[in-house]
Amino acid sequence: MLFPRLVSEIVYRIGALLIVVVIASIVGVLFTRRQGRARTVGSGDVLAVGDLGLPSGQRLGERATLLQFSSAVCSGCRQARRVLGDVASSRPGVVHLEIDAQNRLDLARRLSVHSTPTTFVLDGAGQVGARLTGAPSPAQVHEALALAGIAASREPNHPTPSARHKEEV
Amino acid sequence: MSTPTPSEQVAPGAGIDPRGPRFVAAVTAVVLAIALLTGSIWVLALQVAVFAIGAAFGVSASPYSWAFRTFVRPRLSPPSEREDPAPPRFAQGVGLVVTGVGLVLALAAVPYAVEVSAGFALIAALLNAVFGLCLGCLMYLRIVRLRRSPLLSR
Repeated sequence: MLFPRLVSEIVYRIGALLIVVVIASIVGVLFTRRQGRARTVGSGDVLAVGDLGLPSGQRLGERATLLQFSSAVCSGCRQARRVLGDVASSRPGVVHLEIDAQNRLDLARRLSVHSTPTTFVLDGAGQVGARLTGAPSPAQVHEALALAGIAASREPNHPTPSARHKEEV
Repeated sequence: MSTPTPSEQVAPGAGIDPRGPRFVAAVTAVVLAIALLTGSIWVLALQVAVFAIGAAFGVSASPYSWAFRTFVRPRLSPPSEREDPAPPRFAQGVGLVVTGVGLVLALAAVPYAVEVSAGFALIAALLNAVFGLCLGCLMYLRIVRLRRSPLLSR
C-alpha cells in the first residue's frame, strides 16, 4: 500500500528536478547566445579623435576602429582585448582602442554603455556603425565589421573618408 | 579573507580566483538537488547555514570554497584573471534569503516549502555552475551602478 505512493512521490520529485534543469538550460543557452552579438547603430554618432582623448600619436583606424569600453573588474574584458587585438592586427587599416568606462563616464553615457566589455565599430570617419556586447569571438568581430559596412581588405578602399580624416589629424 | 570594498575596483593582486565561486555553485547545486529530491529540512538547513557563512564572511569562507582550495585548485594552473569578491558574496546573500524563507516556511509546516525554495535556488546555482551566469552578481552590479552613477543606469 505504501509502496506505490512512495514510487509516485519519487517520480514527481524527479520530474520537478528535471523541470528545474530544463528551465536553467533554456535560460543559460539564451544568455550564452546573446554574448558577443553585434547590432547596427543607426544614431549616426560620429566620434572624433578629440572626443576620445587619445594620447598623441594614437589615431583612429583608416578603415575601422574597434573601440572597446572596459572596466577594472570585468571578466570578459581581457578576452575581448585579446580577440579584438588579434582581428585588428590581421586586418590592415583596422585599429583596436580601449577606454576605461569609469574614466570616461561622459562617453559611456553618450553611447549608452551599460556593461563591459562593450565594443563599437567605427568607420574610417569615426562614425559608429555597430555595437558588440560581451566578449566576442573572432567570427563575431568580422561579422560586426561587415555589419558596419567596413570592406574586407581585398576590396578597394574608398579614399574620401580616410583622406578627410587624415587632413583633420 | 579581506573585506570587500564597496566600489567595483579591485586592487592589483587582490581579488579571488573566479573558478572558486563556480565550484561553490556546483556543490550548492548538488546539495539543493538532494533537498529537492528528498524534501529534507535538514539538507535545506545545511545549505542555509552555508549560505549564511558565505554572506557574512565572503564566498571564500564557505566550506565549499575550502574544499575547492584543498582538493581542486592544487590541480589547476594559476588563475589568469581575478574577480571582485563582492558580487559573489552578495549572491550568497540572495541564496540565503531564498532558502532561508523556505526553511522558515518548512518549519511552519507549509507543504513543499523545502522543494519549492530549493528549486528556485537550484536554478540560480545551475546557471552559475554550468553557464557561469551569476544572477546574484548581476543584481549586485545593477544596485551598485544605480547608487554610484545614475547617469549609467537605464
